[in-house]
This record gives sequence, C-alpha cells and structure tokens, in this order.
Amino acid sequence: MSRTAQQWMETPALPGSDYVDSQIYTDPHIFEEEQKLLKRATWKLACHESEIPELYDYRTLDHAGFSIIVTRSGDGNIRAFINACSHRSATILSEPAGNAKQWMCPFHNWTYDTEGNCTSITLPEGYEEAGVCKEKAGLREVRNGMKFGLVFINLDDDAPSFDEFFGDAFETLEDVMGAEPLEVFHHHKAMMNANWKTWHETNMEFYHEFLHYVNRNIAMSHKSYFERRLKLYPYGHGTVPPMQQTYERAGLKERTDKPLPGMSPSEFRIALLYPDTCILVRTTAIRIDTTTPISPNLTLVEQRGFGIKGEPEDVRNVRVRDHNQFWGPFGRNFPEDGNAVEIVEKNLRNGAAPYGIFARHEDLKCMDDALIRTFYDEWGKYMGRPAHNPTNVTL
Amino acid sequence: MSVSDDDIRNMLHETFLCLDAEDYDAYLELCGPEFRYRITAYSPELRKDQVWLDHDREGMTELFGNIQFHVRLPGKFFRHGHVYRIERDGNGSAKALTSMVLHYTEPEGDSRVFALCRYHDDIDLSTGTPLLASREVRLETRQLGTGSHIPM
Ligand code: FES
Ligand SMILES: [Fe+2]
Repeated sequence: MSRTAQQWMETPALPGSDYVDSQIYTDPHIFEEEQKLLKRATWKLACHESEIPELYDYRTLDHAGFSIIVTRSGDGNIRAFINACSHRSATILSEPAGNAKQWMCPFHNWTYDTEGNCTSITLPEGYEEAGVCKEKAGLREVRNGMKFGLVFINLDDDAPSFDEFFGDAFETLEDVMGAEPLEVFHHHKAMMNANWKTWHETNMEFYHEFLHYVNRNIAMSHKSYFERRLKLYPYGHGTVPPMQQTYERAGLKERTDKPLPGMSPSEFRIALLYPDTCILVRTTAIRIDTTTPISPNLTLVEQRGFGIKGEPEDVRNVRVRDHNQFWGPFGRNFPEDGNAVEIVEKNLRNGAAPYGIFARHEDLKCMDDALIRTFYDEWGKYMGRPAHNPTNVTL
Repeated sequence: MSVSDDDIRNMLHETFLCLDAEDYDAYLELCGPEFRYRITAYSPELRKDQVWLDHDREGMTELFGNIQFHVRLPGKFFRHGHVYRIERDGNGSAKALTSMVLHYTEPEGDSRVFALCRYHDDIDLSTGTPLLASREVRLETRQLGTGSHIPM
C-alpha cells in the first residue's frame, strides 16, 4: 500500500541503529561539524609513498578543508604539513606533485625546508623589534603513519595513534600488500553530486551488487558468496573474507594470470578503513578509493590502482588492463556506483525522502548491513549525536 | 585507387557520428581487423602517463555489446571534432590528429562539456578505403564525474 505524506515522514518503527535521518547527508551545519569533529580527528589516506619516491618529492592534497603537503624530506622521512605559510597563510605549494629542496611562499618569499623549518624571512631586520624570527616560524606539522606504503595523516594531535586506530584492520591484506613494495599506476578523481557517506556506503554494503551487471553474474553465482561473514573492528573498520569470483559468467576471462602475492586465481578481498577508505583486491590488481567532501552534496572521489614496484612491463600491463575492466572512469563498475549515489542525492537534496534504512540482519553474512551500522555508531561518537536523530540534540 | 585527404576526413567524421548515434556495428566497420583503441591521460599527481582503457577489436566488440546491460549515464554524447592534421607516411598509412570536445546532454535536455581530448589516429590506406587502424584518445579532462561506459 502506498503511504500518505504523514506516514512517509513518520519515524521508522526500527531501532535507531537500523536507520539514518537523511539530514546527515544534506544539512550544512552537520557537514561543517563532520569536517571538524570527524574528518580532522581520524586517519586519512593522503597518498602512497610511491608517489613521492625520491628525496624532496612532495604531493599536495585537500583534506577536511585544509591544503596539506606530504613530502619525503631530505633525511628520508615522510612528513606532512599544512600547506599554509606562517606569515599570512598563503598556500605555499600549488602543484599536485613536484620535487623541491626549499619551498618558497610566492607572496612575500619566506622559505621553508622539507622538514618544516622556516629557512629565511625576507628582510628579517624589520621584524627584530617585534621578535618575529625564522626560528619560531616553522610550518604546522601533521601526524602521519604508514602501512603497505600508504601514507595516512591525522590533523588531531590528540587522536588515537595510527596503530591503535587501525589495529588489525589490515590483516586480510597482509600477505597481498605487505609482501613487496607497491606502486600506484592509476590515479583519478571524480566529482560526484552526492554526500561522501553515500559513496562510502556503496563500499560498505554488498546488497547493491544487484546494481552491477558484472557482479550479479560473477559473484552471486557462488553459494559461498552469501555465507561469508563480515568482520568488524574497533574504530569502525571492517573486512570481508576472501571469496572466489567466476568471471566467465559475465563473458570475461578468469583471472589466473599474474596474481598478486597471496592471491589465488579469481580471488577477491576487501578492507574498509574508517571513515572513508576502501581497499579492493581482484586477484591481479588493487583499487583504493577515498573521498574529499566538498559540500553536503558534492564529493571528490579519488581512486588509485596499484601494482608491484619494479615489476616487468608485461605483468604491469595485465594489472592495468584488469584494473580498468572494473575500475577507473571507464570501468564496468565505477560509473554504475557513481550513477547510484547521484540518484540518491537527487531525492535527499530537497527532503523528498526522510530516512535511509540499514536494517539487514543476517548474522554478519555478507549482505548484512552491519558494516554501515558500525560506521554510523562511530559517526555518532565523533559527532555527539545519533545518525538517526541528528538535529534533536543538546550538546 | 588513391585515397584523398577528404576521404580520410570523411571516414573520421563518420566515426564521430557512429559513436554519437551509438551505432557500434557501423563504427567497427570503419575500423581495421587489427584495430586498437586506447584512452590515456597524463597524471600530474603521479607525474606519469596512465592508460585508462586499452582494447583490441575483440575487446571493443565485447565492450560495446555489454553497454546495454549496464546502468549507464542516461543521456547522450555529442562529439564536436576538428581534424587538425593528416600526415601520410608513403607506405599506405596515415596519421590524423583531431581535437575533440564531448558534450553530454541529460535526458531533460541540458548540455554540458563532458571532456576535452585529442584523437591520435592511425589510418590504413592499403585497401583503397581508409580504415581506422588505431585510436588513442588522449584526455585533457581527467575529472569525468561518474565516468562512462561509452568510449570517448
Ligand atoms: S604569506 Fe607567505 S611570505 Fe607572506
Ligand atoms: Fe559498487
């Protein structure tokens, strides 16, 4: 039976953890608080060390509204800084990547080294009376941690350590990504008309494999597919046990050639890192995606593809080909996920649909919504409000 | 029979029109048996070239055949291409450089620029009819929104 306006707007007759209020995707105030309380307090994938292989290489990125520099400093250590000049806040580096021993702010030419020291102030005599000097004008360093060469940053100096935060969340990938140094071969960004959480939800629930023509065939034809049990970790991370795919069912070649270390033919693994990073491994290639929220309904999705550093060209070509079959802007799956999140946002934008339901309970079998419920449980802790009732709150 | 630059240009224009019309059988008829199609882009983030799609004729046939099964962008693409340069090598083949703008029109009718790119085409002239031997789509635009199942 269809529902009246009143029935449609009624709070779902479900436990609070089984649904979310759509305002968490659309409310500008909630968005601002997410940036401050959640994004700036959690560990964020910034880049992979193979993007800064040489001394003095750097990458810049935007995170939670801040521009960030990640560099391989002259002493070989990886460091991160806020990309803002100590003088009057100008953005120091504007290229996405480069190599420089000294960084000069283009505004009044103060300079910095790759360890964050201010190395010169233009006409320093003028500051003598006020006591401003280069010794006190270093950059704001940002904590970083690394796993499998993936560089994560955290803007909150008081947040849990990298090791505590991630705990065992990488365990399912240890033999695959920890065996040999990796290298990024694919990087692309896609602006989605959607909230960042909607994108990440597509990574956290397998119910939507029905969306994907290829997945319907290659994954769900296996009974074992439905039997796998999700694993949840502290701080909101999750993994899905390895499973076999049957690519032939979608008219594709089985992935028997050039598997990554630890991967058996046509095997598939997934790890979800709170709050917005997803690692997928399909036998031969690795995809990692993460998001940069721009506004409540605009999200920059950033996707990388990985192979093994220094591998022969023919092996790399297989990885690139297999990566592109599903992922990247011309893959089979990526545009379908993009399409899905945009058709959700279209209805959320003006409040046409008040709630989202995550009420699948299947004893952690793979189409259980447990990963999303864990995600929103954590979200509630950071935000000081439950996702099912985010505006009726006294902080 | 010799192939004129106009013949080559007309064949290239036909490939644009076939893609606009999503008439992939007709598109493949304009391609040689060893046809190779690539989409590439330079990444300033990685400071490297990237390959985003690379298929032979068989791979393209399979990709075209699957478009109907995908949840895809519901609107239409219009290509606006200008063939800047045709260079013959004297051995029965030629190279052509086309500047291409892809516009995307939503089902509601509003259009936007989807991507800027250049086609680097190799053309086989040996049969007397110009055939597309390979096409590299070199993307200038790297942010393509949700992406596309339809080749550029
Ligand atoms: S703002 Fe950087 S030197 Fe003035
Ligand atoms: Fe998906």
